Amino acid sequence: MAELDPLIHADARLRVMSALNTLGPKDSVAFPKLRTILSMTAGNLSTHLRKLEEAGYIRQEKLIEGRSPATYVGITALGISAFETYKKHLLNLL
Amino acid sequence: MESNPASTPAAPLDPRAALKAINRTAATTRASIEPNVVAIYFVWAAAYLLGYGLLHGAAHGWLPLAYGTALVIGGIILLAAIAYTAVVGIRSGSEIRGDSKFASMAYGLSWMGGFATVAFFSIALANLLPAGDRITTGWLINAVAILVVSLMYMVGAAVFQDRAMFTLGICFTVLNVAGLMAGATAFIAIFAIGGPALFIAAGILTPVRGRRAPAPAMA
Repeated sequence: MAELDPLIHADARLRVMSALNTLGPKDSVAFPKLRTILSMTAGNLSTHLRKLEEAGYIRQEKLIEGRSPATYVGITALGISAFETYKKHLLNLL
Repeated sequence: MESNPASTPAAPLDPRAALKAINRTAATTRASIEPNVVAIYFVWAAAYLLGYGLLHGAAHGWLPLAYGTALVIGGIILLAAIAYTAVVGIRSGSEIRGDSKFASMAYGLSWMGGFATVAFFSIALANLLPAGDRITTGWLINAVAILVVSLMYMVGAAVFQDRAMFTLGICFTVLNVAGLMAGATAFIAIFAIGGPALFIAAGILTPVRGRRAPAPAMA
């Protein structure tokens, strides 16, 4: 039986992937809004986002909105594919 | 208080717990990025009931209200419902970037463009038709306004891939044709009853549709 992707199979990162997958590949969400959706601290969320970004599952874009810096987070095509595979394996285990 | 389950080293997740976490997060995310359409439908049901109800009462004499006053109050109710819808839409789209943000913005502006045109058409038609025939003028203006409403729902259905919205657009088209066939004296009653009934049905069926989403309803 195929193993669950260990990068996704951790509560916080699983929820990050689920939220971004719900948003879809063509949209991204501001870091504070994602933090509110997931009820996570900024530091904790940043750590998990960095791991997912290193794997190419998500992308982070830093830009200036008005005069303030903002970070937007979105899922990549690789991330969607990995999440779909993860869900398939998860269903096989049930 | 923030729940922060991932601050401790990740414990192995039970597959069922993982599936629950996926579905719960997807639902929370949708609630955060999509407007509450059920609330919007109920607000519009109330707006139609009050607006058309007042017009009916003024036109048929069961309310001690001049028709012009009823029109003004109806206009205020309409503007309040538009403001509520706009605020809810803008709030849900805040802090989001990308295609869906543009689609929502373009759709919202299209509603405004459509109703600005209806407002100018109303003035032009009122100047064209004989003074005193306000019921006939209102009947024709209403038909054009509802044409915009039904087309916007059908366009929205195509943009957001929402079959329920398409059904609502079709129903408003049928209601509009019924109002036109019924004539100037009966159309207000048709919209006072039919409009709220359609919005309430849409509001009730929307969550039901959500509950019937294909299992396992994953994100």
